[in-house]
Amino acid sequence: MTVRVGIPKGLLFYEYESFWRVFFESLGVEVIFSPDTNKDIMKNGLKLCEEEACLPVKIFHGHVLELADKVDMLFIPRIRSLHYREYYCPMICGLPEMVKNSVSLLPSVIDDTIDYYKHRYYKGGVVRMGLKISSDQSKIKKAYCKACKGLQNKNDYQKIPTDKNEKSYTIAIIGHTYNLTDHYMNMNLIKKIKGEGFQVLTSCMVSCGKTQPYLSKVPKRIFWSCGREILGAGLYYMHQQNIDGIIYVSCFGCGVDSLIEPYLSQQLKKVRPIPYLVISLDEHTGEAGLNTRLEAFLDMIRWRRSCANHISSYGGNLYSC
Amino acid sequence: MIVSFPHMGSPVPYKKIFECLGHDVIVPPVPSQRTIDMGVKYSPEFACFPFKVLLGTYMEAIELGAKVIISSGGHGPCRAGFYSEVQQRILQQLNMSVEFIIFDSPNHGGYQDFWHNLIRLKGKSSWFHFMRSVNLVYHMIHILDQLERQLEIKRAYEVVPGTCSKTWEKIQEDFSNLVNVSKDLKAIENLSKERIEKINVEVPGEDEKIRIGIVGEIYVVMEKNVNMKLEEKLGALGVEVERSQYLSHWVDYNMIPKWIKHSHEEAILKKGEKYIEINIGGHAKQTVGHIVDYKERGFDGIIHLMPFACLPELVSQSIIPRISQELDIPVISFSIDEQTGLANNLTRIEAFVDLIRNKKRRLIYNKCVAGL
Repeated sequence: MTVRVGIPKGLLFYEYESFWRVFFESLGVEVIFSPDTNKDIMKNGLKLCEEEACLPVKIFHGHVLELADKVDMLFIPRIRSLHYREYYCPMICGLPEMVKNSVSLLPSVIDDTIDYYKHRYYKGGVVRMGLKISSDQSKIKKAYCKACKGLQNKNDYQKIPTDKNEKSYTIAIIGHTYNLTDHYMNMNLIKKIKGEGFQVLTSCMVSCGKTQPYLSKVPKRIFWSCGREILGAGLYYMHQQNIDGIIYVSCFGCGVDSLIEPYLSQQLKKVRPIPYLVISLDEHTGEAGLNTRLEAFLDMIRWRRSCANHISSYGGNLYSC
Repeated sequence: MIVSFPHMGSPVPYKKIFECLGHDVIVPPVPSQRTIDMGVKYSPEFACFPFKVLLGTYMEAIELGAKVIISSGGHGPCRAGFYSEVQQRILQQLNMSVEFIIFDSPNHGGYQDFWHNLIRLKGKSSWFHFMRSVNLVYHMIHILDQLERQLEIKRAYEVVPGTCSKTWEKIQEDFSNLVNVSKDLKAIENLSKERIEKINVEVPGEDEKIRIGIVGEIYVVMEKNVNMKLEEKLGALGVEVERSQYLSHWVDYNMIPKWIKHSHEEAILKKGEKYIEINIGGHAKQTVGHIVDYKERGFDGIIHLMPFACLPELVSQSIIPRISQELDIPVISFSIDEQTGLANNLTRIEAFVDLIRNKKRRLIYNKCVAGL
């Protein structure tokens, strides 16, 4: 019988899913993903996890519990750094520790460290993980190469339209990939906006090359990979003339967002004051609040173009740019 | 330069070094309700608690006329490394512009900045004088920490409540006013030791003593005005206290290269390895290491302090139940936030101390019975 490896669908899963699937499948094991986030998963996660932790980490706990009795091995890597001079947030660095101590009766966990900043290569960590499944080093290395190829293919970013469209509106949504991709957590935000006839661009679409010129102007180097990605995308979209508004999707208790968001909003005020909305996701599942805010925001963008007379009813000019 | 600095523990060493280098120093008021209120008002919602208190402290310092704020930075993954960037911008928005001099560790590619900051700090004094001042303050930090540790133990047994705290105030005053060159240190140290000797104590038998270690994030552990004056509260309950964080440890670990001196922290980190493999930022690993260390040294209980929404401490908090079980040592966690109501936490502390005392008594009782 083949070994079953479970990968919880949370946090960095959305970015590196293809890599790990290819890697483990090449090693001849069966890969089982947890289902998309649903009410039970969220409820279990909230119960298991520390109450002050951020929402995605809580949901991750739920996913782990979902898989715990279905698989022989759980895959929860300890990812400290994936780029030079950058880290992930402390919660992601300490994720296996958190999970192992909060969820009881876990199967064995593949929890080796990947620390690119310290070791300057990924292979070591990945091979160590492979060794827990098979003892054949060359097979693991082959699987690693194969998985890398898959990752490279995935990495050609979509072309971002930059010309201003008179008829439709374009909105940039920025935030952690897991906030944007987990549709249960963000209550189908992107779908809702698209349903209103808006064009949506997300922070995952922007490549490093595009964000680099903007990030290099930030006085202190940002040391979180996710923070760099978000801030870079935010600054990039801010300078694109075809973007009509920016939505920042944050979540309860996110440490990175708590400092990146004020920075971005200030920059936005200085450079190009366009409509800007911060949505902070939490475990509430009532959608009315979100819908109202979203509708108001979209209306504002529409009216800005159709009937902006640039005369505000109060004080200074509200939104001329 | 008119400089100011954030509070963390005793302000005397910080004040001394800037004074020695010929700067005008403004010591900000100790963090109070007003400080916290001001900080909370202008900080991002989910920023961690030290961020808010520091912002409040800076604002109070600026009100008093500070022009330059000197603080330490960081390089991740903990948020503290990015504090000053955001705080600077918030202050700018409030028309309270001030210059920040942030000392980042030069090991992470910032030699130039570090050097530049050092020269600014040196001011007009000579390098010889600079080194002499640094040396003076370095020794002063070590002496002050030693004295404080003695007081933390004595406080549990003082006859007149509050004597130790008063003595500590006096000692700080002495060091602040009377020490100007390294030669003075010895005399003042002896004077302080005499002061400590003079405190009347009633020391109970070894079986009756209770020792509690305080672990957690450095700011809330060291700044007593933020952590409800925990040490004094515990002292009043007759408990010997030791903190996991002292300024001297921090300086030894972060500022002295390893080839000069191996710091105490390294041994602690080694002990924490079993529970947290890698350094995940902040003081999570130290927290875990210190719990193991305290257990080995025969402490009776641990109090874990963390600021609200501290990322690394959250990880250690989720591991603590396991450590507590494996090592058989009671641990209680306090999440410190802008809520300054004491009754709740005080009750928890009292209950915790009672629990430890009863546990200890039962052990002794069992031993006696077995002996009979």
